[in-house]
Order: sequence, then C-alpha cells, then structure tokens
Amino acid sequence: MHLKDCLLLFATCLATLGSAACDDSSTPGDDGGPGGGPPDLPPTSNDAALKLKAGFRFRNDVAQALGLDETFCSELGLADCAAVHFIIMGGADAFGSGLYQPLPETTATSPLAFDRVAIAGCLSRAKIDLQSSGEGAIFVGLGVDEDGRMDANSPAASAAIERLYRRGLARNPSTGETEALLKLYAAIEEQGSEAPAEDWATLSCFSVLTTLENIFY
Amino acid sequence: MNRRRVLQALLAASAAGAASGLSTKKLRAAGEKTKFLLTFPLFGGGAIIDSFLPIKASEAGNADTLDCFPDDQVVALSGSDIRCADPLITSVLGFDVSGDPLPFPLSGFGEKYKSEMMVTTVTGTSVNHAVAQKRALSGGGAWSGRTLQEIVASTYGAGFALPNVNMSSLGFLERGSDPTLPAEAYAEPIPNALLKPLSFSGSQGIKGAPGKDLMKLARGARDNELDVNSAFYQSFYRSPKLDLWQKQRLISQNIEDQGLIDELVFIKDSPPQIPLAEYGLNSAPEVDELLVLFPDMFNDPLEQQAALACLLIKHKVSVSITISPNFAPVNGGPLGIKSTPLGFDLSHQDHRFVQALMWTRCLGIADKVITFLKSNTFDEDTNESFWDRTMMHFPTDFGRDKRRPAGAPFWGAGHELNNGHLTISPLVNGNTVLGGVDPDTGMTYGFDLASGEPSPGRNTSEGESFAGLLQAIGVDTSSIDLPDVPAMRKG
Repeated sequence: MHLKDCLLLFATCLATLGSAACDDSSTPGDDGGPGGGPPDLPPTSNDAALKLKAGFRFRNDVAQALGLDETFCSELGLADCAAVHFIIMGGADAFGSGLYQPLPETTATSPLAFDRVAIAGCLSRAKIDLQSSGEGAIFVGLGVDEDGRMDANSPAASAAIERLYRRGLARNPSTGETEALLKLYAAIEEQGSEAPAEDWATLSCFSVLTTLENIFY
Repeated sequence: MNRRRVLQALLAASAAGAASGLSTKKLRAAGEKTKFLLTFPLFGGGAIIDSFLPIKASEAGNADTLDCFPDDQVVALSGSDIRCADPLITSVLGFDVSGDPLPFPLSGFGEKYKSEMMVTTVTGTSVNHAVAQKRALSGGGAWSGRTLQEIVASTYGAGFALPNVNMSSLGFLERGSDPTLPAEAYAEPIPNALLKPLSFSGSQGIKGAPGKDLMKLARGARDNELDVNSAFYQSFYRSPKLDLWQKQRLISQNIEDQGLIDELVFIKDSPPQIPLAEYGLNSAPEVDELLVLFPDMFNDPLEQQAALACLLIKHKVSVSITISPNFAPVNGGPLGIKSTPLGFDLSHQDHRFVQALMWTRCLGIADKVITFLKSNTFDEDTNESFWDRTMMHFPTDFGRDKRRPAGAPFWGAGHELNNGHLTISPLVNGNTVLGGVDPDTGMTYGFDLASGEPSPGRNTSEGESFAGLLQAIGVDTSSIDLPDVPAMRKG
C-alpha cells in the first residue's frame, strides 16, 4: 500500500471514530458487558484465528446445505469445479504442483473460485425448488406468477430466507439480514430480470453462501 | 463509542484503501515503461556445460571421464564467445541408437538469439531440489527472501490485474519468505493453464448463471449488508485473513470487470471436448496465431503455459510470469516423449540424452514465445514490441556431475552446485559469456562483476547473479545490500 493510501485509510478511521464518539447509543467496552447499554454485540476475538474452508470442504458444505449431490459443479462439463480451482481454494497439491502445504494466504482469484462453486449450487437449488410445485428444500411456496415474479413481502419469502440461513449457516437470520435479502428482490426486478423470482432465489442463496461466515471458520 | 459503527467504518476504509489504486476500469494501463520478466526454470537441473558452455573433447584433460563432446558437436557461434552443444545421441536410456543417432542441435537457437543471449556462471548452495529451486529465484535470500518475480511484480506491477503469476511447481512455485511483501505481489499459482481463465470470473462459464449486473447486486447485498452486520464479522473483524479477503474481493471484481476470461481463453471452441460456446465462453482474438505457434497445446501442458504467458503479457495482465516443465512426463512428439519423467533430473539415469532432449524442448518453446512477443506491439508511439521490454531468464536447481564412467556412451549424473544460467533479453549484456569453464574439471568459474572479465578461481554466487538480473531489468537495488553487477546489464 502506498503512503498516500495509508494516509487516506488513517484519516478515514480518525474521522469516523471522532463522529462515533459522539453517538448517544454507544456501548461500553468490547464485550457489551455490565456497566451500561444492551449487550447487543458479540465479544471481539483478539486472536481472530480463522481458517479458510478449503476446496472440497466448501463444495461439500454447499452440497449439504442445498441438498445436492457433490457433483453439482462442473467446469465445461469436464471437471469438478473445486478440483480445478483447488489450490486457490486453499488446497495442497503434492503430486501435481509439489505444493505440500496449502498457500499461506488466499490469492487474487480465490473469491471468484468460491463464487463459481456457490453460484453453481444455488442455480441448481433454485431451479429444482421453483419447478417442483411446492416440494423443495428452500425456495418453496413463493407463489411465482406467469411473469416469473413473486411477492417479496409474503411470509413465504421470509420463510425461504430462514430456511436458507438454517441450512447454510446453521442459525436464524437477523431481522436486518432478512430485510437486506428481501430488498434484493426489488433491485433484481428493477434491473430488468426476465425471471426475477428465480434470479432472486439463486442470488440470495449465493449471497449467503459466499459470506465471510460461510467461507471462514 | 459505538462498535458497530466503528466496524462499518473500518470495513469502508479498508475497501477504500484497496480501491484507491483501482480507479480506472482496466487498472492502470501499462503506459509507463513497464518491463516484463518471464522466468523459465529448467526444472530438475539443467547443466550449462551441456548447452552453452560445452567442452570439446580435444580441450579436455581426460575426455574419457569428463562430460564433454566430440569436437564436431560443439559449435562456436559466429562473432560470439558463445558456444552451443549440438549433441548427436547414440544411446537412449541404455538402448543403442547409434545406427540412427538423434540430433539435438542448439546452435540454430544460438545463432538466432545470440545478440540477446547472456551466459553467466553461478554456483548454488543446495543440492536439494526444492531448496535449490527457491534459492535460484531468491538469490539465496539476498533480498529478505523475496524472489525475482516478486520484486519485479512489486516494481512494475502497479496497475496490472495479476502482477505475478506462476505456472511452475515445487520450489519454483514457493512464495518468497519476506513477510513484508505487499499482497499484490504474491504469485497467483496456475497449476492448469488451460482451465485457469475460468477463475477470472465468478459466474461466466457456469450454465444459466445470472448476468454480471445481477451478480453485482448480490455481491453488494453480501458485502454491504450481510457481512458487515453479522455477528461473525463483528467477532472476527481483526482477522488478517478477512482483511485480505475483502481486498481480494475488490481485485477479483476488477479482474471480472475487465473481461479477462474472454481475453485469455487460448483454445478454440471444440465441442464436445472443449465446449466453450455452450458455456457462454469466447476464445481470445489471438487464438489462431497461438495455434500456429503451439499446435499441440491440447496435449502439451508446457505449450499451454506458454500460450497463456503470451496472452498475459500482451493483454498487460501480468509483469512477472513463470512457466516450466515439472516432474511429470509428457508424451508425444517424434520420439514419443517430449518431457522426461523428473524433467532434467532424469539425468540421474541418462545424462546426455535427457539434457539434450530437455534443453531442446525448453528452448523450442522459448523461441515461440519470443516470436509472439516480437510480433506484438507494446507501444504504438515508439514501435517497441513486447519483447523489447522482456527478460527471459532460465534458472535451474543446480548443475550435474561433471564426470562420467570412462568411455561410457551413456551415464547417470547427480546434482552439482557448480553451474551457470542462460538469460535472453534486449535488456541484458547480450552476446556475452560471463565467466568460463575449466576444460579439465568441467567446473565453471566466475567473472569480475564490474568488467565482466573471466576470473578463474572465483565463483559467482547466487546473490550476485540475482543482483545482476534485477539491475539489468531496471530494479533499483540501492537500498538493499546487494552488489553492483554492471557486467550483466546492457551498456
């Protein structure tokens, strides 16, 4: 990072910290513990020692979350996506590349490889669910009309998001998360999608399964 | 103090910091006088005395027990101190082919490129493949453990989507050991050049995937709403892995926005084997030109690497590219084998044949890459080609034993620290041999770093060779404790 960029980062931090200090809804300390204010934030991890959910592990998690076979993603119909992108997805490759250990960090194209696996799985799940007339795993009962539209304010849409979070992240979505994904539908329609409900199912699934929470642990 | 707002600010600031260099769509086009480094490791141990410092039998103290050549198999290039080995192989892995010997002449290559060839002697410090390979690239750790490729990427890579890519393996693929190296200079590993372009998009090539604009909406919701407000992020926001990932999301979005997946697919739509169109993919505009140069690229991984390297340079994606054979054999060609198992290291079984085959293979590929780079213009104003701005360097693990069993037509050769390198570039002191070889022992000796005069009794160290290469490609080494090696740079 250049000096100019460091100064920009530092200045931005100072400005925001300065304004945040005047916020009336502040909470004391990092653990939101006793002493004032609701403990609405989780504790901060000082070590923050995260691991990447590498290659096949990520693929298998996506398969399990979406109720798919592990062969759901194939590059050009020739090879498993996670195998093709294994090294940049955090795998080792002793025999092929002589990489006895995974790379110490992710690479510039690592996010794209994870995106590809997730979007392939989400496409499959969305298609199955929307074509299954009420039987499906996640996106069921959305009431999609003949124009491919749905009512994003319906209980079915919120229920789909809840199922997505429970299967994908093993927890319920927060109110904010549900609202964000429901808002996504409107943006998709506005973009001119020809099948907005199916695109929404695919893309909300993609958004959740490629969150930091699902890629790192 | 509201921690949630602080976290949002940190995320925004981190993204702003990463994005500050990404203001233009194609990052910064390489209008500034960038230079390109193409590193072509001779994987397994390529011996310089079997290529461009060969010893004639008539010169050797004891030709019967030295790795030397019959006099008529050593060619002195016209107007040059460079010699080439033109071996005639009479035995292949113990099979007698003296009835129809196999020629592997290097003099054709030498004659073509001698004005830009620099042969330097060097003595390494390890006979372990992985360790020696890494030291060959890092000069034995001369610059805090950084590799040549990382340094060139740090120097010239600003504005390039993927400054440093590496298609090699083992020690030649290893990252350098400097923890302060900027993340942008890390090598992007490419184990499979044919399929690598697919990783330049998060969705293109996946059947039925939503279009780019819709993908951006989803990523926006994820990055700006889901991630930042999650309990997970609020607990672990201090993780350097998360910080790097968020920066890499921006870089990868830029890679995708540039449409590199359409510029770097170097094969034609060939259903059913390679069904590009069916999956919404396109071939690079240069595909026909590349097919002429690399006709066997469907089957030959080194041709695939070379084709991708050509495109990465021409489309100004990378400044530092590494290609090489590896331990895996490659079948094909007129002999039925193009790359021996273990690469150059099958010299353990048959030194003369393996060195001849592998040097010919590597230089054959190099010739085609140089041809491509020469025929494509880097700067329309100055009419410079890409080759005018490129250094092609051939590091290797180590040399090979200089001796052989008396009179043996074929023999095995182990690892030997003493060796030399070949570098080809308009940027180096071309048509030059720096150092020399003792015809009695086969051991190379060094040179005066300033004048280039041969210096028997002196060896060129890894660090000196490393310094000379960096200085030749225009890297400022004044702040680092590296020797000045004017003998290796042009002028």
